[in-house]
Amino acid sequence: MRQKEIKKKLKQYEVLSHRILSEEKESRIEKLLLLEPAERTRGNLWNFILEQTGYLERYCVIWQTLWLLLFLLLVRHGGMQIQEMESEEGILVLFSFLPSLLVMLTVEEITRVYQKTMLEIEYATKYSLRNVVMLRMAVLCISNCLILTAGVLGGNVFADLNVSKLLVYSFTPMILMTGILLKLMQYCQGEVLRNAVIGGYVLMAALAVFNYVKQLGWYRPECFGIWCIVCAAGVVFGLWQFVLLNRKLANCEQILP
Amino acid sequence: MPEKIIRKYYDEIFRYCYHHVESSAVAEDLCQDTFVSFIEHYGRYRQEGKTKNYLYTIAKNKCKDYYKKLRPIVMETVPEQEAGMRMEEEVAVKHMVMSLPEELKEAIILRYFQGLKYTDIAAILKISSSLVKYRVKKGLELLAQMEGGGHETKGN
Repeated sequence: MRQKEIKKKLKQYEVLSHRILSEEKESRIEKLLLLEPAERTRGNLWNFILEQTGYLERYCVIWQTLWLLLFLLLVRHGGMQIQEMESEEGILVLFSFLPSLLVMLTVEEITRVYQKTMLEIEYATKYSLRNVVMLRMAVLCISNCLILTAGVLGGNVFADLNVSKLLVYSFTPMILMTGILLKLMQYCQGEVLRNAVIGGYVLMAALAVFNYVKQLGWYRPECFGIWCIVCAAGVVFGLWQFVLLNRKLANCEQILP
Repeated sequence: MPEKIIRKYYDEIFRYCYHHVESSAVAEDLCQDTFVSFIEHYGRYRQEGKTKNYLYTIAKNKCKDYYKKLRPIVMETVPEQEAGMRMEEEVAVKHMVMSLPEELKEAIILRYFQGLKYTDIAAILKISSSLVKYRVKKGLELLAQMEGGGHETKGN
């Protein structure tokens, strides 16, 4: 009870303290602006890549690990079921349904990577906002690809299916999802971007469920060729969006008003 | 030149320094020193988190250095801007905060006077968020005890 009162008083003091203003602010800032700033020379490109990778992975690695564990667990149980039912479809749905979840789990970091406050990078490092955003996106894409490959190879121990087939079924939705994310990044940021990506994932999940329920047979062997074409088209689409995002960031005022 | 950063955070950093030293003139100097250090070193700055947290870290160190040299004088200084507030209770709670142990005081100032998130405080103090929460909780407990003691004394 007494702590509540203390909290209330502290908050009241915080409000009051906003009246505490610097009387010499403008003259002090004028003096500061006369100072010669240090040359922005720290670190070479390799250091920059390591620094940004370390920063991102510190936050993403927990989600990537959790996703990998969930994936292996579900595939293991699904694999057992297949051996009993002699039907591949369930496990293939799982392999193509879960990878885009990996993109969604790391989107929280992507929105953090890509927001108004990132403009400060322009003033604080020798690298531009474009350099940082593109590098961080590349790091996320590569790390997600490595995690997914590990998941597919690990999962196949339980599922015992054709590896190249599994790679196509699992990478296609993730590539499409990443392409959509890169597209959305050209138009929105922060909260809106996060919600849009979640919306994209829900749509993908709904399609997977729709196929399963309605028995559309998207996973029949004769449809595999179409999956390969979609996968290749997804790669082209994703790379093109990557280039477009890079171009848009050249003038970040357009993208971050 | 990081002019936008200076303008954006000047008032916030000034207030933070003021909470520590309780003197406008000294806070002005410490705030300026903070930005001078920022400008001098920003070439080597690692852009990993928020620039604001980096500025807070510099300001914290500047205040710490100042305390080391002049603490007895600072504690006697009259907080001139607060005198104009005429809100005795709130100002009294600030003085109770100032008498807390250094680690708890820092956590309370950043959390309540500066309104920062636990994660930001953790980044500034270079400790875990859970330790920040613990320090804030402990600080509040001590403040409640102090206030309780004060009320009893008044009652007596």
